[in-house]
Amino acid sequence: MIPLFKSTFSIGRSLLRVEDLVDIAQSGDVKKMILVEDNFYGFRVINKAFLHIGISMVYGVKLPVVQSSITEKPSKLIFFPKNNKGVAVARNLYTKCFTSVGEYLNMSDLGEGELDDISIGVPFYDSYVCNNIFHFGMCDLFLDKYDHFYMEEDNKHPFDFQISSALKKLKVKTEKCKSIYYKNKDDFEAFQMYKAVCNRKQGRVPTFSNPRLNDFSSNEFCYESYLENVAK
Amino acid sequence: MLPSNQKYLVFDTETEGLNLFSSKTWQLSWIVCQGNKILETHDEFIIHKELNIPEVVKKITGFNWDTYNRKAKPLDEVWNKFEKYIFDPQYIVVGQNLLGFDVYMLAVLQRLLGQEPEYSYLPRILDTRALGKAYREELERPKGNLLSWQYKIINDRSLKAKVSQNQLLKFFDIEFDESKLHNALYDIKMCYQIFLKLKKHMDL
Repeated sequence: MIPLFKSTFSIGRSLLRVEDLVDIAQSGDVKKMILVEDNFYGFRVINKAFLHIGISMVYGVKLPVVQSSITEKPSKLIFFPKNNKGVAVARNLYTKCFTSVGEYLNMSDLGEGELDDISIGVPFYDSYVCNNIFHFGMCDLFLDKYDHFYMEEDNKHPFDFQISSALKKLKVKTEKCKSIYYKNKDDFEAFQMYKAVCNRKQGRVPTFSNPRLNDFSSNEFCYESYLENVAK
Repeated sequence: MLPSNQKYLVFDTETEGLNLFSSKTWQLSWIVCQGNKILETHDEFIIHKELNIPEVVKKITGFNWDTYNRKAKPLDEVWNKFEKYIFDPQYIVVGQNLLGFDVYMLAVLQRLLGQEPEYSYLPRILDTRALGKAYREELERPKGNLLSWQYKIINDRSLKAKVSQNQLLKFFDIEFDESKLHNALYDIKMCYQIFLKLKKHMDL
């Protein structure tokens, strides 16, 4: 199972500070720190921290993408650098994405060989596969010419078996993964409130009894759950 | 089209709040129906160590400590009874906003019992909120996966048709007592009336 961490630099999406990631890495339970961030804000700080402790780190960036036109429904892909050159490529993709009209990365605009130093991860929850189950409007991506893999998670959420079943129908190879946003299951309430506050809309005040977070119902997105799964 | 002898399990929960991870269900009601008949009625109240019911919830649901204390039973007793129905594939599971709320509340109950949430009944769900929206928005029903279609309807914010239970009852001209809505047992009886209308109009 591949643990995929996210830091507080992905604002509103994780409770894990750089110090927490370092602690986890130093505990020896993960061979290398694999991150899935929504931006490059934290790259320098995180990179410096991991260079300092001598543990390798992969900085993946999750971007909204379309296949060929901004009129398409976007979905997400994770771009993992395979090497140092790949980091520069991922940063360029991030810039390209958020400076384009609609703020999507148009896959058809990518040059030949541009992703040679990148491995693409198709995320479990907000990929085109997931979108086609839970949202109207078909979206599709053609990834055959790229080094890519599909992620599969089990967080005891009602969406999980539906997405897994769709992946099975697609007959794609999947890797068992675990998205990690906080350390222990007991941190769930803090994470929920943090997320609720970050997602609040005008006039709709979140409370513990009504955090106003649709489908937010699993406390399995944590390091503790990862360790339990690995132990099984 | 669903066969005329199809059996339906209609259920609803009344809970402490709207937290999809931790709100505890204090009333779980279900009926078993076939055609126009209600074959069985179950109305259970559940004992919890700590139950924090905000005033606003008491007001909406008519929660009353006397009734609750008189009727409440241990969770395992209620769940053991209910799970015989919910996981029985002979039943189509019907309810209002099951996919957006009640399936999560059942998962909370299972976690309280130390069990892993079990969602194998989801493909048998017909959610009157999703179906009501589809009907009012004149959406064409797909031949394939109805579960996925219902999720798509719920998630599509461009569909503006009002489909609360109250609004659907009014829309279908079903007589009801507004003061009794949000009592789980009354709600499911009304929900089944809505479902029968939707079934007829949508050729379910």
